Amino acid sequence: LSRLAAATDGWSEPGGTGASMAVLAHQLGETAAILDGYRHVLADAQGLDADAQHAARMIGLATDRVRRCADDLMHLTTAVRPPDEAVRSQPAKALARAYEAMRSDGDRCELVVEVEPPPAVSVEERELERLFLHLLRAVVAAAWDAERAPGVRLQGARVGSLVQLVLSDDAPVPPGPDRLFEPGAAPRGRGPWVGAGVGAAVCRRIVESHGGRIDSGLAVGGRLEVTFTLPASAR
Amino acid sequence: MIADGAMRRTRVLVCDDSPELRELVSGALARNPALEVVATAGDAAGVARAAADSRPDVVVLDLLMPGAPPDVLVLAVAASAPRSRIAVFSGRATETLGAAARAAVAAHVDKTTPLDVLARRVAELGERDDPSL
Repeated sequence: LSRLAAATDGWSEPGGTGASMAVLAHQLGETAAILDGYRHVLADAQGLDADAQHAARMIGLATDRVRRCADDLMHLTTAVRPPDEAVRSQPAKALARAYEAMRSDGDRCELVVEVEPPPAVSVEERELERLFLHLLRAVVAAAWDAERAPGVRLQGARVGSLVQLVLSDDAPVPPGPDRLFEPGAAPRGRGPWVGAGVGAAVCRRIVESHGGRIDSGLAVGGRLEVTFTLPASAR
Repeated sequence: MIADGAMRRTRVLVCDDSPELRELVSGALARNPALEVVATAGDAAGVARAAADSRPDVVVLDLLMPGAPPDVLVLAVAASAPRSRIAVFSGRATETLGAAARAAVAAHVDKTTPLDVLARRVAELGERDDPSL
């Protein structure tokens, strides 16, 4: 685990937080796999009564929740890759893939998504997808008790060598809307989509490891805006 | 894969140090009609032996196994069964492997991936058979 811990930038002391996070992610990942295995065993069983079928569905939801926590911690330990100028990704595509991944989970997830396709950025697509995954999850968690699906809008424009992206939403606004990405800020929302509660830290680490910056605040009309910059694709 | 008019199932070796996970992963893979679990192993020596003996098409490999560090484990499997494709199924990031071991890995599936998705990925790897190998 030393190489993984060393890659976590500042947590590299022996036995430090990075290594602990990696171990925890590994253990939770195994737990998710075991739960998922038993869910399949139950799904194959014949003659289950309604209660047992309900229990099998609940095991599925619990598995999703454990899986999210494990993935969050792994994202946190790996979100420090150096930028690669040769990489080119489309933010709109990464946003769509992140939403698709969320909708394949068992927990309720509805969003109304509007996109004005921003320029390409020099960030690996997988990293960009993870960034949007955590931003979208925060919106769903913020609207967990709301009666209607929240709406999100992605816009972006090139500013010199950077692309400035703005993801705004109309979900309930949390306390301290301008401090969501400060170290130690409480996770937005509630419910299973909060995961391990490290989404803001993952976003900050991905953005900052690419030389960008991420902030939040209220826009006119009361929408919450997350504004972040990423290097523009040179290609 | 079609041979003599019948479907040839992809032969799979399942390696994990947890007996429970070996059983559950094997069971999930066996539910996919394109796959046949031909052996399992729970430590590094067993992995290398089973890879050489069972001649699997795909080795589903946990990276944290007793007896060898991850890089050594991956390279040992690659040496024991050069025709097999290695699908790492681990809670560890592939980025933690050295370049040589990373190059030997055909696919990395996070351990949090649903087992039916793992089965599909393994079946896809089996279909990517190269007769020249």
